[in-house]
Amino acid sequence: MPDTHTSKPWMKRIAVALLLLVLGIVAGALISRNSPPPADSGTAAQLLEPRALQPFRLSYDGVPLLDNDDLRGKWSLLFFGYTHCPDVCPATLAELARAYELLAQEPGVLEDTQFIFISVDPARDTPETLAAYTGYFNPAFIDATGDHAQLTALARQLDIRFRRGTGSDEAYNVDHTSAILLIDPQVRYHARIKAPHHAQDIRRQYLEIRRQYQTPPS
Amino acid sequence: MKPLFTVLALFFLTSTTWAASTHGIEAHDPWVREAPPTAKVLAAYLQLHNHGDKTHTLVSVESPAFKHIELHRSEEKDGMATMVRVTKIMIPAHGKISFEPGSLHIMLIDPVAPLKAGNKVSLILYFAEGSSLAVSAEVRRGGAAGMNHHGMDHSMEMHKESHGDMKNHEHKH
Repeated sequence: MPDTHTSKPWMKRIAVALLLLVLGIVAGALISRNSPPPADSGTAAQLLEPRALQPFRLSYDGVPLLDNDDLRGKWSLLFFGYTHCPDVCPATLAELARAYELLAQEPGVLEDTQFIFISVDPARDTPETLAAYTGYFNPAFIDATGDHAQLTALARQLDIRFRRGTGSDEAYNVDHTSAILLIDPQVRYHARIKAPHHAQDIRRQYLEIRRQYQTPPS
Repeated sequence: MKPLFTVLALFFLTSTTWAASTHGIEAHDPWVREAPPTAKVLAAYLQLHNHGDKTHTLVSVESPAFKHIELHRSEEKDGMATMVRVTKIMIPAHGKISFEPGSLHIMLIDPVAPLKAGNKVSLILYFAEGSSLAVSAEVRRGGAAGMNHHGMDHSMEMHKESHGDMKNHEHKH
């Protein structure tokens, strides 16, 4: 019976192949479940349970610069930083300026959208400095700063952290959360777009959030 | 033979504006991000390739256009963007180091005069091994993308969608 002798190892091979296939599928499923998300989602907007902003006020030398009423009725993209920041801040503002240009292609969007840069370095960033700085990226951008207590009161509500970093008195760094925050027209903290920021992603995510806001799922 | 030599010499001279070399270290695409005229601190980026058999260690950078220059790396720490000063950067034999937005950068402090897109900034890179490298960095408008593909896509997209306003167009070379 030579047939049975040859068929046995043949069947064994099929069994081993099937077993390997099953193991492969299981392992694949496990790996894909535990693998890091694709690179693109690193910049995905994080939607939040919209949270009303408590009254806040930013002022400089007694001159009011920004409060809750300035955010009412418009979508606001907020970014915290400082003008002595050579890398992350100008890169983000340049991306926001490009996002603005992209959004200009969408009918009606810019009419109720504002971009606001808030300096967490009032010791060096006067309103004049800030106006020149943000105006360079886009003249429509709004800027503000406040004293430490005012900034902290607003930043805390938005899960933004900042602190003086390393460096000499003239050239110190300020560490700060680099997320872009989306405040909805009801002055609610609505979403958070984490760094690294790219204009196309900002545009896409903002438009998606806006669309869902205007036509909430029934 | 002479015309060929002239062509080669010209090619070499023009190519040094973007790729300079010393002891096997080559600098590619050096650029400075244009900033508001009031900005006190700017950043320069480039790639350093080490074609040699020995490690090179970048320890300082000088420029007549700035009063002070430091090497820094942007990092995410405790949920915050922070900058860490770096005192030396090793470029291993046959290796490469990239200075790019959101990561390693040459921090240019106190510009002697405001810089505009199109200006050239000369930088001299000093290595612990005793050599130095002079590069000419172009001032450009630029965002977070640097030279990766992501950036290229954006750049092309902007080009396609821009309507005559080239203000925010990122120059790629």
